[in-house]
Amino acid sequence: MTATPAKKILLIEDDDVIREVMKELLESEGYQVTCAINGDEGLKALRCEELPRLILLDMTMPVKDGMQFREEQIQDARLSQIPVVLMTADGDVAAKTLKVGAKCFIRKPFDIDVVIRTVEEYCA
Amino acid sequence: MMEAGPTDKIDILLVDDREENLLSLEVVLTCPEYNLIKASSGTEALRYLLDHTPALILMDVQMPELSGFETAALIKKSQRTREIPIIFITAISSEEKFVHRGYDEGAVDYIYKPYDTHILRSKVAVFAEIRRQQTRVARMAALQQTATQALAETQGAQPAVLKVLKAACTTLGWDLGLYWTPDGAGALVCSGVWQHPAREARRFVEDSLRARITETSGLPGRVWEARAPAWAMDLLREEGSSRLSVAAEDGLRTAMAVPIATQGEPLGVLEFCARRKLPEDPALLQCLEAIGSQIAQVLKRTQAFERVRAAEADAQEAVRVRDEFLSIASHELKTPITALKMMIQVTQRGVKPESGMGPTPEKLAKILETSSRQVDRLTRLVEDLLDVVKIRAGKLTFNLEEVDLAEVVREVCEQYGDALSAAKCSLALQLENNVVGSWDRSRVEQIVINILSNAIKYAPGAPIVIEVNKVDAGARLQIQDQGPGIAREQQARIFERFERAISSRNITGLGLGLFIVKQIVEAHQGTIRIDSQVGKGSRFTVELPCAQPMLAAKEPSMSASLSHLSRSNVFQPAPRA
Repeated sequence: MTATPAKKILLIEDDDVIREVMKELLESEGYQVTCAINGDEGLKALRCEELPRLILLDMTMPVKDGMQFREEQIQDARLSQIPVVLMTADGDVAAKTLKVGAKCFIRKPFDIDVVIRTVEEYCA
Repeated sequence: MMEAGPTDKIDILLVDDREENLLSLEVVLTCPEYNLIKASSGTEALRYLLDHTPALILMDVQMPELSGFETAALIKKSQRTREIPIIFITAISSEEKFVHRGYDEGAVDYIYKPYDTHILRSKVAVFAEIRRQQTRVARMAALQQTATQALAETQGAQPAVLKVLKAACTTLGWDLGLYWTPDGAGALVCSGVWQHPAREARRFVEDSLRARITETSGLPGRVWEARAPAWAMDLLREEGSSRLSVAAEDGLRTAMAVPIATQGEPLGVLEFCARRKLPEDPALLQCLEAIGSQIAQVLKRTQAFERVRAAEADAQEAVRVRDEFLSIASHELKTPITALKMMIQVTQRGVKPESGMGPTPEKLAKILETSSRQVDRLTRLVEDLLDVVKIRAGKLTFNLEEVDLAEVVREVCEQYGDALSAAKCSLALQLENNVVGSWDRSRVEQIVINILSNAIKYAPGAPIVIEVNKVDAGARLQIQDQGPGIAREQQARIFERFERAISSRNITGLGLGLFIVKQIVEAHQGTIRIDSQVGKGSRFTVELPCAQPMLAAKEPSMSASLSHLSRSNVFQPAPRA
């Protein structure tokens, strides 16, 4: 890693274990990771912190799910351009990705190599 | 016989060149049933016949220009008038050659002047009657055809029957038709009326629409009961039916009714009323009964069609529920698998065998502990799924043994200590000792676990109270939370498969917990109920009989020794609607 400031990522995921392991993994790769446990918390984080380079978004979550998060994100001009990668176990994830206008998806259960490659691609 | 209506006069054409002869015929034949048309020449008669078809022609033979015979020959040439009977009236002679000529030209009879008025009237009456019969047969055929067409072309049984009522009334000259159907509670109700717009019987119709006719009361009731047509000739004299006396007050005089039935199975009744007083007409009843049977077949077809449609809707709903469940199950199963896979791969990355590097023992212990929890989570999900499959097949297995309910509750609460503190739920236990019964230990545990984990899931941060008490011949378990509560209209549904009171995306889990609990409780001959108020929390109450009546009844000698026996039993959960 170079001496440039760490690239910032927002991770929105309701499952404690997945969230913790991903955070650890991405931090070990040199990213700065902010976590949120649902779409609502994710929007709060976006509105009061420095904007991330990428959002990793789970779809099925309590309070505010991935779909609802996207609807609000797109409506906010300041946030709408941040690229989003969906993370879901859903069978029709490809269709969902198109529907919410996300950049791409990673299907659960995923390989960490795929996670790292995808994140690198969008933070390059 | 069917009497002709007021507008159904019989047309009789009188043809004679002499005014006085026409007048005398008119005097002899005048009566309310006949409509006499006079023509003073063959030409005039032919002109009238261009657009009329009288029931009978009475014609003088000797007329200037066209004679009677010549006129008859022309009448017989036309397809439309060929069948009209002609009676010649003649003073010429009874010589045979004239008679032959007359018959050759199509005469049906001769009357000689001076005629006997009585004979003349009788002969005319015979032909009038033939015409009436023809009209009647033609009308019934037309009605039959109209009915068949209406039933074939009209969407829905009800509008089709109304069309038939209208067709029957207008074709037959009746004033009012009613359609009676069973209301499912042992009575007939009026579900359709047609009445002649110019001759309404308002009170009677209002009365009929309000009426609930039982099998023995009123004309439709009698017809329904006997599955046979009936005729009430004089409504003024009908007794025992207030509805028909209202009909009489409204000016109706005759009523008839036929069953709507096929293969002896009655589905309704058609009732007709007329202002005229009419004698019973068995042929008409037969005709309407045939139409009734046709309607019944249409009704049965419609009912069968609706059953198929309902079944299709049910099947679609079942598919929808299944798809939704598969989507939830897929998410629920893949989440712990994802966590496990990631932890394994992250750990693998940290292990470098060639340099002897790896995670610290503390780190490894944490990873293994978390992994183990993911495996437990998966195991529970799979067990729930398998339980549902077993329940559907009626094959839940129970190992009955002596179980202390308070002990089970204590063990479960210990097991859930971490989850309770993570959710910041305080727990109060009010457990009566020695509440012992013959139950399946692991299934009773499942009851406590499923209800308790719901409370943790839905009511985090609020106290939970668990009570165990002895009641009558059983045990009572109560688990109370201070969560969001469940609206009354949703309370019955929460015990069904895949049901959640709160919208599915907000809460994780398969939505099978309470369904499984209810099946276990019922298999133990127990009961479960919920008391809940929105905003105030929920209390689940489970009551289980201490001895299992099914076992005790089957093997009374064994029931006493159950306390030290562990036996396997398979019994069916209560059937589900």
